Amino acid sequence: MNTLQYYTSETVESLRNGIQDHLDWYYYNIGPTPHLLPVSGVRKSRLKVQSFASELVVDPDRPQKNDAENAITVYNTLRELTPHQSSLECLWVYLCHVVCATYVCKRWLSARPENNENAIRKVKNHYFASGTRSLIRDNGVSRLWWLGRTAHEVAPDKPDEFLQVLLAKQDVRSALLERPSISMNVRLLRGIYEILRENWYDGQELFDRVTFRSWMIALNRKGGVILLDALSDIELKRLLQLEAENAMSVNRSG
Amino acid sequence: MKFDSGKAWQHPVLRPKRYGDDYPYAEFEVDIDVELDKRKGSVSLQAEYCLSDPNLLSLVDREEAKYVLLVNCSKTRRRETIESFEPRIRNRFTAGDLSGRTEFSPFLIATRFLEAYDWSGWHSDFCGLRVDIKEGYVLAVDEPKAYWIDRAEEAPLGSIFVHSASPAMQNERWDVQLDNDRVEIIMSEETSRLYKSVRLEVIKKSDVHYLMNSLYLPALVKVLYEADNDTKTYENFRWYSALNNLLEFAHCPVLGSASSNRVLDAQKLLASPFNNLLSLLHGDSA
Repeated sequence: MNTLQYYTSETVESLRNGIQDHLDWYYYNIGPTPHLLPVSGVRKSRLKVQSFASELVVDPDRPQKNDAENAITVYNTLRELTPHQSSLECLWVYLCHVVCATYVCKRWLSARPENNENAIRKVKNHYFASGTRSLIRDNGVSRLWWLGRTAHEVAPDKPDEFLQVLLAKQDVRSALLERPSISMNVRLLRGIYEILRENWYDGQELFDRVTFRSWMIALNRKGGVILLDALSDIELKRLLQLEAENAMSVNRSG
Repeated sequence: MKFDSGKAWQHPVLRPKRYGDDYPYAEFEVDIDVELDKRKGSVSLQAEYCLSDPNLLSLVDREEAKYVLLVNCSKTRRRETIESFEPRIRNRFTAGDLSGRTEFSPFLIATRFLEAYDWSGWHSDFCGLRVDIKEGYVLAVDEPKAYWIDRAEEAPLGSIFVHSASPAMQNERWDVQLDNDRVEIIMSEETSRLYKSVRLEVIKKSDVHYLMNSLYLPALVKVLYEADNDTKTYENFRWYSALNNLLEFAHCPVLGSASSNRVLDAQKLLASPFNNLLSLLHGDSA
């Protein structure tokens, strides 16, 4: 077991400002290593964790294919993080640069943009995390943790199945996992997932782009009048099911 | 559901008068108090609901409406509703559950279907109107309250500052602005570029003490004295609560204290930068 470490905020700033000078390291793992900073730039947390970086896999032809299993790996390893700790950029920047650098590079930096600004932007997106949205969606390691956490919260018995269903289509993933109004509402997300899961094994009509979007729009409209969080389980399920059926019915007739 | 002061509801909703007069003779006000236990890190919440409309009150008595508080913390991705048929809600959040900006939104929500609902306490424009109220419908809403939940050790002093460049600034000078969630240290474009390149270097050496003494120490003294003299203007900014936490953590008087020596307090918060500089220089000359 190793002690979980993280950078100081000054170190994170220094790394962020120095991306341009270390692009070769980020994309090709050659040249000076940016994270060889004084010891004072790294702090030790109280958590002990198993090594996990070697378990992260990437299929070079379909990099997103292994997101689900990688999410389970990262979350199981770092399960003890509190929500506050998991929101700290300095932790994830350290993991991306020191522990999981090979994985992040293979997953996100397989092609270097010709334009330097775009090359820097890609590094910033996936090795750093300025804001909650970036932590959830972009940072190479934190997005896996949040995926794993959501899966365990919504479907603790079968988190891998949850990820299989939700990651199948980009639309579904974006709407449910990246929009705070749904992804932060565990009851609502669970209700939507249960309907989607059933439909996954029964024709997958709801996964059609137009149908799914109609369903989401209808729920959004309902959410403007009804506080969905305060509905009873029965009423919430009834409403979600009704709007799903309406969306499928409209698509069939359209 | 985000609070929208200009929202046009499809049925009468009791809300602050400046946003609507669907209920011209009634009020729905909620006092929300949030306290952080600095030792344990847990957060205690207390909300007192004041509802004056007799018809809505009778709905609550019959459990056909309930008081709801929606808690939303985007940093920790925590979203939770706390519900009660009593006009008082209390809750405790474990350490780490809430952090940073947290919003508390109070509602009165229908708990079941109310067919052809009407009420003489509505605005006269609704005279004769009957509405079907479904479970979950908002019957009353008050403005949300936002609190910053930061423990002193989680909001380091550096986090209250942000640097920016302004064409209006003279070269070789800097100034401080306090009217935002972070204290802005403003320089000219040229000085800002020079500062950024110097800062990258000093992080790798111990020369950081020069920056501390020439920039952060005087900036912090200014902030402390400004905040002491005008708490009302600054108390809702995030830097104010973060700085207050740090002062308490360091056993210094909190902001608004007339009698404190802020020159000494600033040095304490920055861990004696002047002494560090002296040690550095003394070490160099030896």
